Amino acid sequence: MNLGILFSGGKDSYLAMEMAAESNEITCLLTINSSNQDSWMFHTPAIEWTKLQSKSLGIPQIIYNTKGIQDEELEDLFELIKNAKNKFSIEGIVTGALASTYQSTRIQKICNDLGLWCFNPLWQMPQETLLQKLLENNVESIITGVAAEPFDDSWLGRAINSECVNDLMKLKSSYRINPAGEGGEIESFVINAPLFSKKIEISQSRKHYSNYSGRLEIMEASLI
Amino acid sequence: MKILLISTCTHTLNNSEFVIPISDILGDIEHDIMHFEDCNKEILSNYSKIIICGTSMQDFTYVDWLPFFDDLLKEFNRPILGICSGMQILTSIFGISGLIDKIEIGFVEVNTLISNKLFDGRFQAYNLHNYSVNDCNEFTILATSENCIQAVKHMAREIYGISFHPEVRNQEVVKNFLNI
Repeated sequence: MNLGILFSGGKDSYLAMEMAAESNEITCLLTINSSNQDSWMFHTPAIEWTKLQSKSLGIPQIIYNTKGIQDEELEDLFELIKNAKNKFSIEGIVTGALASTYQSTRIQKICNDLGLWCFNPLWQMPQETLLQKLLENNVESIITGVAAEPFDDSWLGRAINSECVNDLMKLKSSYRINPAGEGGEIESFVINAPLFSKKIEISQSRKHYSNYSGRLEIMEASLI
Repeated sequence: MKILLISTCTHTLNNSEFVIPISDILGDIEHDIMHFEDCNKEILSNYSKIIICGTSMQDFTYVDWLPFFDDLLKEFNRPILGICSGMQILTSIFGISGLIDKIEIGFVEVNTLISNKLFDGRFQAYNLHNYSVNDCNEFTILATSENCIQAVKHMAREIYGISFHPEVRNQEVVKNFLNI
């Protein structure tokens, strides 16, 4: 089946894509670039650099810009998926939704209206399982956003490796953090993975941080 | 006690969404997962209970296989729980209920009509379906939402159908079924 993936560039959408690619053809990446940093639907840090991931994956990408106003962003998402259906003859959509019924309900409705299948391979997956799966599958990602206590700015840019996963699991018990960031506690960006032909090297970046909330602005990056 | 989870998913990718989370609820309880096409009556005789899991909104393959399910399940006289497509299969083969076009996506309020072993009261439940079932003589309606029948029980047997997805919310419904 030809599928499009709702792709934010983070660990969840990549992992969902890898699972879907085992028995399907991923023909396009669908990315929403929201100017609302607090969007409930779309994750924003480093979104402009997904174009490098698209190049490394060898999968074409459609990017739509949205202001991120609650109902309007859904209309933008509808148009994006409709466009992908027409342009790439996709029969279904894959998402990295884990537990957010807010996101999944809205995407299910759009897919049903457009007669498309909707696949959520990570749905209800325990967050520890997800993190372990990332490590087992050699998915290299970094933290590009934090939004919860006790994350300080040293977390920005940190590789999500086994040491980081251990630290996140500790925060689960001490601070009730969702260790995979399902509650928006962390955002991530994949820099290398099995489906990538080249690794992404970030040569220049800047941290923006205050009061347990921050993001890593990638200023210069390239495929190596 | 050994449980069989029957998948109605045409695409294996959907198992991770509709079957594996039910398996996670079962945890250490001994159970197997099998696609319905791989099942036969002899295999089913090894299990004390069956759960027929749901599938994607676009997946209607199970509708074409209703005669197969009829032959497979009619003589299984232990408890069965059908979730979403599973409920539609059970009411179609044990009753005379046809499927009707009724879309529900997301949370709905469920109102319990009759005291039963799976749930009680009013609660929010996650639905994801294009079809629902009709009232029929062979099943008692246990619960409804504003638009649909949400749960049924066979008049004479421990055969239950629920429209909502307990893997998203109301996991205790599955656990209560295991205690029947």
